[in-house]
Amino acid sequence: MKIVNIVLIDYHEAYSLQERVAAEVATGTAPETLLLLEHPPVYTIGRGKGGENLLDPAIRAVETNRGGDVTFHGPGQLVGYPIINLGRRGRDLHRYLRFLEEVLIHTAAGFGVEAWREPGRTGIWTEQGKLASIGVGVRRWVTMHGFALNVVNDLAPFVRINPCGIAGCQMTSLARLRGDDAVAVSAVKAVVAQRFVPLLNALLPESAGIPRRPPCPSTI
Amino acid sequence: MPTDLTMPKLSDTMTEGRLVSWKKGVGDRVERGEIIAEVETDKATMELEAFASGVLVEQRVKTGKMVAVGAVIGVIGAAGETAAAKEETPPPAPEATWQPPAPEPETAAVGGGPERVMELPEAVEPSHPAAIGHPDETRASPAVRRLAREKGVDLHRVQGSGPDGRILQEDLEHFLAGRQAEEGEPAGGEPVAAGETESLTRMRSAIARVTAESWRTIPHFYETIEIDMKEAVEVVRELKGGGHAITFNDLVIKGAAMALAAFPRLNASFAGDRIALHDAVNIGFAVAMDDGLQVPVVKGCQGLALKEIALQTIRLAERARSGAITQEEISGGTFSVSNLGMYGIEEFAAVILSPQAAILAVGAVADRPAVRDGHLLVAKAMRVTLSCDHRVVDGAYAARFLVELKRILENPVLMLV
Repeated sequence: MKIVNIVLIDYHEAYSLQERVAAEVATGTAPETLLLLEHPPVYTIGRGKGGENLLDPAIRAVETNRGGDVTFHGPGQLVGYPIINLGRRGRDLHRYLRFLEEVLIHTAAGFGVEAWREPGRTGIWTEQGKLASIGVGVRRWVTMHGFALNVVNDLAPFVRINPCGIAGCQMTSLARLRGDDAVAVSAVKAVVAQRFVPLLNALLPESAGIPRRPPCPSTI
Repeated sequence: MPTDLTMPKLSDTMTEGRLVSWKKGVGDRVERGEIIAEVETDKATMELEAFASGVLVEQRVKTGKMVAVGAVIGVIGAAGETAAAKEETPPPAPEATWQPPAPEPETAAVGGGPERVMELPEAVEPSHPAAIGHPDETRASPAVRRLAREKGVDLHRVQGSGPDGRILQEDLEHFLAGRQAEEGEPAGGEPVAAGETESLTRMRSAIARVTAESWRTIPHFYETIEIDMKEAVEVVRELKGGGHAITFNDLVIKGAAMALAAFPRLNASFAGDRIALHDAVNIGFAVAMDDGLQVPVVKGCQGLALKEIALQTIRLAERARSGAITQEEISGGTFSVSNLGMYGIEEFAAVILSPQAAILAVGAVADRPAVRDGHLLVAKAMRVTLSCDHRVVDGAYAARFLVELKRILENPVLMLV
C-alpha cells in the first residue's frame, strides 16, 4: 500500500493520475495507492444525475465518472482517492462505501468530532450536518475517486448547489464543528493515513478467491 | 448466438442498480472486455465490460433507469444480427409452455385443442397472426409480452419508447395506468384507496427482501411457553440498585445462550443437504428505529457474563439508533431475540432471520393469576414464543429447549454463577 501526499492539484490532472495508477493496480504492476490532496475550487458532477442543481458561474464545473450527484471541492478540503483492487477484497461495492465511511468516522473522532452514518445517505453526518461526501467509480474492480472531507474550507459554494442531491442538505466542516480554524489539512491527512490501512485490512481483507459472504442479512 | 447483458450484482446487499450511461450505441461493434455501459449502486458507479465480442443489437433499458439485479439491460449479437432477428428466435421453454389465463376466443373456438396451440410459437400472439409475419410490428421482450398477456393488453395499442419503437415495461405500465384511469378501478381488484405513496427507504427495502425470502423459504412453526419471572424481577431490581443496568432482554439473551449450549440444533443453519451447527453463539436482538429495525449481534454469548452482555446490548443499541453501526456488528448472528414487552405486548411470533434456525419473541412481564400448590396467587409472568425452522428441528426438540430456558429464567442465580 502506497500513500501519496499531494498539496494542491488540478482536478483533471488528478483524474489522469488516478487513471494511470488504476490501470497499474489492475494489472498488478503498482501497489494499491491512496492519494491525499486538495483541489482548486471546482464543482464536479457525478453520474447520479444533476441538472436541477444550481452552480456558481464563477466556479468551473466538470462532469466525472463517479457515483453521486454534484459536489464542490476547494482548498481546505481533504480529498482522498483510494485506488484499491476490490477484485481481491470481496467484490462488494456497498461494503467498500461503508469502509470509507468508517475511515472518515474514525478520522473525525481523532479530532474530537462525533460523526455517524445515516442509513441510505452515503457520507458521514454530524449534529451540524454532512461532514464528508463519498463518490466512487470502479473499473475492472479497481476503485477511483473516493471522499471529500471538509476541514477548513469555505462552505459558501455548497449553498449554491444541492450537495449530494438531497434537498436541504447542510454541509459542515471540522473547523466549524470544533469552533477552531487552526485545524490543518495536513494534520487530518496524517490521521487518515494512519487509520486507512488497518481499517482496510480489517473490513475488506484480501482473499485468495471466493468472496466471503456474511452468514446473516445485512440490515433488519 | 446473442449474449444477454445483465445488471450485475456488485454487492451482497445490492438488489437493483441504475443504468447511468450507455458507452455503445445500437449497431456499434463491441470487443470483449470493452466498456459498454456504466451502472450505479448507492454512490458508486461501475464500468460494465462486455463478456462477448459482437454488435450491440439492443439497449433494453434507458439511461437513468433503475432495474433489478440480473435483469437484461441489453443484447450483444453477431455482426449483421439485429434486434428483430433476435425476436424470431423461439421463446425460452417457460414461455412456450405458459398458458394464458384467458385464451382469446377466436383461437379457442377455431382450434378446439388449445394445448396444441400452446406449443406453437405463434401462440404468443394468437389474436394477431399478422405479428408472426412481421416481427417488427410489436417489439417487446418476452417479459413484457408476458405481462401484456397477463393484463390482457394488445401490444399494438402501446406506444413504444425504446430504441426503434421497442415497447419497454414502463411503456406498458404507463399504458395500464392510463387504461385504469379511463376505466376506473381495475376489474375485480381491490379498490385502491386514495392517498400518498411512499418510496421505499433502503432499510425498508432490505427488510422487505429479507423477510419475504425467509417467509418463502423457511417452514415456520411456533411454540409458546409462560415463564414465572418472580425471581428474575428481584435480580434485575437488585442489580440495578448495585449500579448495573440489566434489562429483562439481557436476561433472556443470557438464558437463551445457556439453553442453546444444551440444544445446539437451534444454534444452526439449514444448508441444503446438511445442517451447519455453529460453535459460536451469536445472538442478534432487534432494535426498533423510526423507519425500520436493525438486529445488532452480541458475539460469543457462550463466553459472556450477564454484565458483559448488558454492556454490549447498551452499546450496540445506541450505535444502531445513531446510524453508526457497522456491517460487522449486524452480521454473523446465529439466533435472534425480538422483544416487544416494553409495549405491553403479551405474546407474538417473529419471522426467522435466514439462515438462522430460530427466533425468540418475548412478551411483557405482567401480573397474571396463577395457581401454586393449590393456591391462587398473582404471578409475574412472561410469555415467549419460539419460531423454528422445521427443516432443522422438530416440535419436541423446540419444546425441550423452551423448558430448559424456562428453568434457567425461573432460577436466575444460574445466570449469575
